[in-house]
Amino acid sequence: MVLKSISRIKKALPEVQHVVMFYNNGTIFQTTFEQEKNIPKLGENLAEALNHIKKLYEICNYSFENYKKIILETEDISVIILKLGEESNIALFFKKEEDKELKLNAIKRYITRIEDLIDMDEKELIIKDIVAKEEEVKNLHEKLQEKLSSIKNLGINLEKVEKGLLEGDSKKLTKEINDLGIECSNLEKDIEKKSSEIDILKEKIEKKQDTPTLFREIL
Amino acid sequence: MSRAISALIGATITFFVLTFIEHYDFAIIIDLTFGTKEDSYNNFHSLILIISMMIIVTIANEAGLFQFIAIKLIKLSKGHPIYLLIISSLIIVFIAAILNNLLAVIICIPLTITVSRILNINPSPYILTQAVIVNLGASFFIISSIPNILIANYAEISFINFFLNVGLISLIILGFTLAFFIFLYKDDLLIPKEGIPILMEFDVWNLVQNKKLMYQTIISLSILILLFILIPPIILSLDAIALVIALILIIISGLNGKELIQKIDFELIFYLIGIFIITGALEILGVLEIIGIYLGNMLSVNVVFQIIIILWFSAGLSASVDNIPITKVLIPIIGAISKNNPSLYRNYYYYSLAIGSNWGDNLTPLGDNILVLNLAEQHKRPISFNLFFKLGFITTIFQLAIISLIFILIFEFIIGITITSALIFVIFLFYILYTYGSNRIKLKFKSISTNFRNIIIK
Repeated sequence: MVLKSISRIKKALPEVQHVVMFYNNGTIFQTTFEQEKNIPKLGENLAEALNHIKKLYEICNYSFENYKKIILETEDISVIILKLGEESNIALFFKKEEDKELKLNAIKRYITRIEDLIDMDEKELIIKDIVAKEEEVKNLHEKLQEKLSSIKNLGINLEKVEKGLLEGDSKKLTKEINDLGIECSNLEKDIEKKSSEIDILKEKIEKKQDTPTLFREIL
Repeated sequence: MSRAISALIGATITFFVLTFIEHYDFAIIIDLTFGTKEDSYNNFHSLILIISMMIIVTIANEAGLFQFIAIKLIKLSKGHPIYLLIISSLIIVFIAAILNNLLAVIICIPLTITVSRILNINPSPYILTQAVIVNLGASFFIISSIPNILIANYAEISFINFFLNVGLISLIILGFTLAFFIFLYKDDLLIPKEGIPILMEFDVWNLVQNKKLMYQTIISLSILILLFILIPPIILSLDAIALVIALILIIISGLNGKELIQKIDFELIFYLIGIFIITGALEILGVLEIIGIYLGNMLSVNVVFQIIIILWFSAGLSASVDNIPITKVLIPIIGAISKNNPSLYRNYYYYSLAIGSNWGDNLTPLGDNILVLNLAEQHKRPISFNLFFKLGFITTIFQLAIISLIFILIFEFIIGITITSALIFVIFLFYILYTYGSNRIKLKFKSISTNFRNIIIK
């Protein structure tokens, strides 16, 4: 999937010679550079370059929060480093052609796709967690409803047995109702616990600053 | 202040005390640093082994060997959370056994976070498991940690004996610990929906700087382990084998020797020298022997009781103080406690010390393991200090309890088998009740186990 996006980038922008997708710790996820090159060192240096610019900003008291792109132009090659997700970046190595402006918009959607694939930021992770927990709560509610209706049915049967309208063991029915009652109270406790966990996660997400990292805001 | 500087200041004060108050000759400082003919130059052998292993480890790290193996194995999990938890834990233990705890953490934690980003999963359960379990790797081989090297050189324990008596026990405990973590996290590990094909696209060769160097390192490490096992220390000591392999690796790799030497952790070497001098002085002045005899009398004559006390005592001390000076101080004390026992028993005192000093670190997150919290924070996946503390403490107590039981089984078989049978019976009883009991009992068990898990991991 990521490889497909890379080939689409290269097709949309033929002047792109190489693509490097790397994390802030220097790990390269994918690159079009051949294996004969020292790929780990390439990642390490790209990460260091980012880190140096960050330090430069810190010295000048500028905010480096959510950098968008870094452009380096030399005579033959231009390098553009774009921020992808929370901790991921993409470096595009262009062959420089005179009087030709780079049209990064042409590759915008591929890069957004890559970002979605290789790096989810913490906020999105929490949202994902909330959704999963809400799904669990929904399932627990369904289970609870089932059990409550079973209790109701058993209660009706018990009443009939006691009145002699139906044959059956009233003790067994009472025990089943009691067991189901315990299960219901446990389910209610679980629902309460999960709901409070959801509240904590929601509070956590509210505390987090709104950090737009998506590429669509970069271009 | 750097620990090396503190140790060297202590060593300098020791030197002045020895020469001006105790009237020792200057040569004493050389004896304390490198050892004497009588103790077979223990300290010198330890220093050479540590430096040689540092060189080999630096080259292996340069080649990207361990990162390559780690991602290659993680891909085998195909994103299945339980397999991922098991594989990532085994990887960090294996790397810690060959390199050391700190390097294992530095290599594995960022990789785990990267994999979690690809799989879109919460890395906390994996990071916490790795952070706690990494200490087990430190007790696999003699070369796995500095306390092991110091202990083995002093007690003349061979590589294979150490592995059979400490490494294998660590392997058993690893199994128990992994089962414990799977029980704790089984409900929190979600199967990733989208990231698995992306993980499979991760090109592992991107982690390798130089294929040739990687193969050379694999061959060298294999030969090293093989020679450690095959050659008895009387014929060739471990440090000599490691030094030869390190030098051969430098020559065949063609790496810049100057750059390589710069990467050696000289801070650690100076720290060790300082510790050697301070503890050596305490030893020649008879302080450690007095403590040893006093403790030996106090702990009665029961071997297993003494061994278990050493285990818990060294673990407790390592929780708050660095395990290198603790080990160096405790070695002669243990020598004094165990000297009246047969040699077969005597080594168990040292095995117990090796386990306690390596594993005790996790009782508090104040030692080297704090690095895990920093790394997680740096990679924007912070983990809770309290959670880390709780998990580390409970797991270490659990591990030390099992080890104590193993020692009881070895020395007091009847008592050991009685305790083990009782435990197995209780577990079996719980299992029967849980499987065949009424709904009420099943629910009660479920609620107890959920509450227990929540207390530890929430």
